[in-house]
Amino acid sequence: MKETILISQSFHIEEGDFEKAGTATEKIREILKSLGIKPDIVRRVSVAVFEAEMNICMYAHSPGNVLFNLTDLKIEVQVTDCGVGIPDLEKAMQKGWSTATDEMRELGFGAGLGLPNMKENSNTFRIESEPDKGTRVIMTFDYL
Amino acid sequence: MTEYYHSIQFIEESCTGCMACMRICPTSAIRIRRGKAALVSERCIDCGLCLQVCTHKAIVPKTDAFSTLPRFSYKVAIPSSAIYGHFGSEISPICVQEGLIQLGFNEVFDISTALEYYVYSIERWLSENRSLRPVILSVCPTVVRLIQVLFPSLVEHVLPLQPPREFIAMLAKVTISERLGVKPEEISCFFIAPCSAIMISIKQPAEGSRSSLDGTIGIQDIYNHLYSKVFEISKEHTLSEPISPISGLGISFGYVGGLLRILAKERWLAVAGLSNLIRIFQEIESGRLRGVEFIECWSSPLGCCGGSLTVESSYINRSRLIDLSNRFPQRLEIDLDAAKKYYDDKISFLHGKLLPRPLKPLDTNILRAVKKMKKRDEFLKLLPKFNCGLCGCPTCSTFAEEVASGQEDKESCVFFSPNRLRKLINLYNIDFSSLSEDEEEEAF
Ligand SMILES: Nc1ncnc2c1ncn2[C@@H]1O[C@H](COP(=O)(O)OP(=O)(O)OP(=O)(O)O)[C@@H](O)[C@H]1O
Ligand code: SF4
Ligand code: SF4
Ligand SMILES: [Mg+2]
Repeated sequence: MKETILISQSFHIEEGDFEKAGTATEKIREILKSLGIKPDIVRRVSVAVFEAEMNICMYAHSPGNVLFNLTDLKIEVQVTDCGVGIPDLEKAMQKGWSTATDEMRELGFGAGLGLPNMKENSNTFRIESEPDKGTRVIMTFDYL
Repeated sequence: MTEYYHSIQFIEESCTGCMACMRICPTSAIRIRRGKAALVSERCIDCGLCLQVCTHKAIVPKTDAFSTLPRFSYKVAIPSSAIYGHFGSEISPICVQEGLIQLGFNEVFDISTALEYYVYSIERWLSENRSLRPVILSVCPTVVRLIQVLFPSLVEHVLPLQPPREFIAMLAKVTISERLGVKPEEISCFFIAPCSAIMISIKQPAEGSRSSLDGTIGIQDIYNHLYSKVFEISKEHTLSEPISPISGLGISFGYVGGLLRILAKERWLAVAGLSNLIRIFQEIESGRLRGVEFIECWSSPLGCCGGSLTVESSYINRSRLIDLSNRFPQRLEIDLDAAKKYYDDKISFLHGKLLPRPLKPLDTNILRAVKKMKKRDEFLKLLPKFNCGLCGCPTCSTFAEEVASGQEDKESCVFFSPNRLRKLINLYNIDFSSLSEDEEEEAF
């Protein structure tokens, strides 16, 4: 059977704007709640997308984009930026590894848990990154 | 579908359809139908804001009337700490307890003792369940319902312990029935309540169990009777011992941050007021709130001291409670073996499981829900988004949602149908014909 896209929406992420960070998460959460997606899945999607949004806001040094697709089979979220990229993905995926500044740590970030959290909360997780080209995280969530 | 019991009642004859309640409701639970306010039961979280804002006495709390008290044979008063700040800072809570006895209660049980067991249980729960953070205090019934309805994914964060008011009612019944040799059912425990929401936690506990309390009497309702008694008592006697032990912790439970202040906890937060709660719950839902262990949450901006059925200004009440709390021992001693036993035997816990109560989705079938969502969003684009309320919904977006899900007709919008405006003019008896011409000119 062919998979059909039911909803496709894209959201812009500003770089370095901590106040606005989380707006894409907020909108996606509203959509999922209105559609009656199970609370536990809504929570997992929220946590994962928020971590991805926050990473762009803090590290990418470029604006980014969240593409949200709902298909008849799953939820897919692609979070993309054209920023500095991650030099060592293996390291970045380790719990506790972080390049956060003291200021970011002051705000409660920089525990090095974002990427591992995205992986734990999604059903499939893929990350691609190239120095000075950018980073893309693709996550899917089963909702049925 | 479950029928939800609510602590408020709409009086149709008194309602002018002024929309004040509809505009303030944080969960969009009120509509105006045929010129009268109507409740959307599953959305209401019993916050009491509508009650406070209606100036036409068209919304009333469903507490038990003080006048019905003589019907009960053995009556126990359990005062909310919020009442203690109602009588001037020189008047001791001890006099308030005595006043309640003079009003006809057979006994008074203060929540201070229960709070000690409560704190013991919170600490054990936090140390034995480290994976889920933050844990959310579940004493305020509106907070619990807000989570069930708007943040269903957070129900697991809610502290599964019986609130101190329930615990003390249970202790009171056990103690008195043993002492007097009567059945617990013959004893009635009344909470002297700062808000209408407590009522629902008794009639329909969120966790689906049975309450140990038998009713609530609003502070508002008892205040006038109590006032003169308390003042006489304070003049005539110098009471030194309370009828039921009182602690600084117990008194401090009546205002936001009181628990935190007395227990001096790190990584605990105190949050009050519905808009603040909504913001913080959104943050928790995104996993954004890190390093916080426990959150004390209250629906009223200053905690119980500002509840919908209090009489004193919430700011004055709070500052008095802080003063008074310093005049009592901060903590009470309890039997630790008993505390341990209550916890191990699950007596300290809620007797049922708290379940989510999410709002109805646009449709239960995902394909149809998506269709309706698109219809909703397209229709919303056309609407002026003035949120005028004349359609009977609080906002254009609620209206669009109801049109899309088939509950409302497009024609209810005055911008869509001039006919609707004519109907409203008739309904509200609006008549400008007596306005003379010069006045009319001035008016414009
Ligand atoms: N979009 C991105 N662009 C550039 N670097 C990134 C990006 N996302 C993550 N990184 C790098 O990977 C590291 C690890 O990211 P991760 O989200 O796991 O932890 P963190 O953001 O440092 O801390 P936490 O997420 O717990 O607040 C970051 O410190 C940062 O150096
Ligand atoms: S506030 Fe609500 S209940 Fe009170 S008169 Fe106005 S519309 Fe009616
Ligand atoms: S009690 Fe609160 S939630 Fe319920 S209708 Fe009134 S304002 Fe809305
Ligand atoms: Mg991160």
